[in-house]
Amino acid sequence: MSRERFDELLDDWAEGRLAGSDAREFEALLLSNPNWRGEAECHRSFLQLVRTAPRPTAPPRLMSEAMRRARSGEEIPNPYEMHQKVIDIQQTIEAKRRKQSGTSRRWIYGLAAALLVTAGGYTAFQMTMDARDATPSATESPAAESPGGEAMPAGRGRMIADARKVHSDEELVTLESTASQTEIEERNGFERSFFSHTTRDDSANRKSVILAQLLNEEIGPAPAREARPVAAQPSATGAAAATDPLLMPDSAPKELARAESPASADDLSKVMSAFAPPSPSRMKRGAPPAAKPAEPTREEVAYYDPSEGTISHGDVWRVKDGPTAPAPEFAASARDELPAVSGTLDEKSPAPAAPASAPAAPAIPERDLIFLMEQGQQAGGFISAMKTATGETKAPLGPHVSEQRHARFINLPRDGARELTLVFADRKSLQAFLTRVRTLPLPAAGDQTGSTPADYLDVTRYTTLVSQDERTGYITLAIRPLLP
Amino acid sequence: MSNKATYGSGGLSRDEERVLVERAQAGDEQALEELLAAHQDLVYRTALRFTAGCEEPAFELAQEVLISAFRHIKKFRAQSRLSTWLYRITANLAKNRYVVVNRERARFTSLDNPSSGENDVRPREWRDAGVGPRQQAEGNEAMEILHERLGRLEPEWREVIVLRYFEDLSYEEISEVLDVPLGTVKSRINRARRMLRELMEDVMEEGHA
Repeated sequence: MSRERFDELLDDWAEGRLAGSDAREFEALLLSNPNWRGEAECHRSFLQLVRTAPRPTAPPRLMSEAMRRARSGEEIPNPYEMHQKVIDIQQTIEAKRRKQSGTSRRWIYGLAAALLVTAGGYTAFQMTMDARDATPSATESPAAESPGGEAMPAGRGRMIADARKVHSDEELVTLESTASQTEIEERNGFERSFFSHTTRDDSANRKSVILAQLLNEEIGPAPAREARPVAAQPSATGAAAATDPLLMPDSAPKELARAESPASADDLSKVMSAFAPPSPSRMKRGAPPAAKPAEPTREEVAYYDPSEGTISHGDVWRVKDGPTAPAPEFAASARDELPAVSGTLDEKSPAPAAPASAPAAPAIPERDLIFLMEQGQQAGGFISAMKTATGETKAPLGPHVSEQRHARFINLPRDGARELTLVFADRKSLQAFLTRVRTLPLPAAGDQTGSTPADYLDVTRYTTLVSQDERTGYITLAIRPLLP
Repeated sequence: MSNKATYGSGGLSRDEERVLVERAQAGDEQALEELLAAHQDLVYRTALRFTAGCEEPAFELAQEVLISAFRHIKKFRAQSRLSTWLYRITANLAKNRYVVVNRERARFTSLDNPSSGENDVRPREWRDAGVGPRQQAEGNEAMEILHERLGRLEPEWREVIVLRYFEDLSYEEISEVLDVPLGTVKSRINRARRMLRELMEDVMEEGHA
């Protein structure tokens, strides 16, 4: 209470207006508390300072400036508001900068993630392709329904469906292995010709078969092409009869077996003489082939093992203008371990070595394509698939399509396929097809019915790959043109 | 306090002020301008106290007060002196500028520190011419310190000090200007006085010595 009284009387005391009982009361308060006296003295000094302080007058232009602004409606910028606006602008700019920085960072992170995903996906793809190259694996079989949506017929349709499944199962591996071997052979200057067969064993439930040998044992040599001009195809028939495993004489497997065992160079020469191609003139006369054997030469080749996905290198003994046989020291192991069997049908000189960078696979001429399809069908087989120029695999519409000469090209490329795959129910049908394509003349260009004088299929331009499904027994024959 | 009659009313008697207010509210701009011109020193001086002696913001604040009075003269109800109404406007606008003034006061020239320049708004004349040069010099230094310490107070405490001791308003007038109860005015003044004394303690001790 006394403090309130002190504060109430302080101003009047400091300004000298306090008198009477209030003055005495205040003096008593000051005596009661020494701090209050000091406080009162300080306040009186403050008031004296304030009272003696100069009293500034307004600048002359204040009134005129204020009236001008008041009449013009001009707003006086409030420094506080301006200050707040500046702060807001600064915060906005900072927030925008942070946002842009964050956006840029997100873009960078996203791009990096995309690159990582792309790189990972590409690596996975490469690994998958490598694994596919190395280890054959079954792929999804197509539905047992024609691409046009109609159901397959019971007998032949089932065979086609199963064969397509077989072909689909083996397609990738088969084509890739063919390509690999082709490249290897080209690199090594390996002589190849029509139907240099390769068989494979791609899984546990499939057994590789050396069709060439089996077919040769069963069918024997193909008939000679009587109508084929010798001058145009000077070596086709005779060389085929001597070197094509499918057309080997009955004694050939035995000779081959002997050749595969370790033997001296003389023994090998004897063996190779059995494969020596007969001269065309002798073939025409039906006389035995010339007895003079050619000198074998040793060449290095590579064997592709599709079951292992590996490439083995070895030597072969090549007889000039003649067949090729494995080197004695390599043949036995190659025979046991590698299902690849290569032979040549053409007696011509070996093909020149391919350049380091192999060109793209050539297309099958349309005329040859039609001929191969027709003969395959006539032999009891059917068209399974076709590899287009772009690498895409297509299948014909169905078995009924192959009945119509032109309709089978409905979904096939007109510019020629890179590979034609035919499926045969058995080895007999395959051999019939091989015989037909070697002996029957090609239809004349533009003639849909076929005519004479015949022009024969240049079998030296093609190579094949044969595989058999142990379960169904169907034989798949992939025909592929050789590099020019 | 003779100052109160002179500066608090802008040099106008109550009747003169009432007439001018009526004419101004009727749309007479000349009467309005005359009325505001009579109070411009009061407005500027109060603004100067509120801005802790900083001339530039005091000039802007004073302009804002005059412009606001010019535009809203019709809202003045004439139940109190016009000076009270102007004090209220000044105090309200000064609060908005408190943050800025506090931030910028360091770069402004003191009220009593002479400056020269194109936009010099330093007071040109001193009403209280009765002090000698030495006293004025000492007083200027003390006033500079006082303004500096006064600027340290929050607006709530500063405005009651300014109105009570610099403008010599009574508790009732302060209560009317600030629109707060009388008891609140008394308690604010007492508390603000203690705070200011603590801030000015070193200066007062030197003065006593």
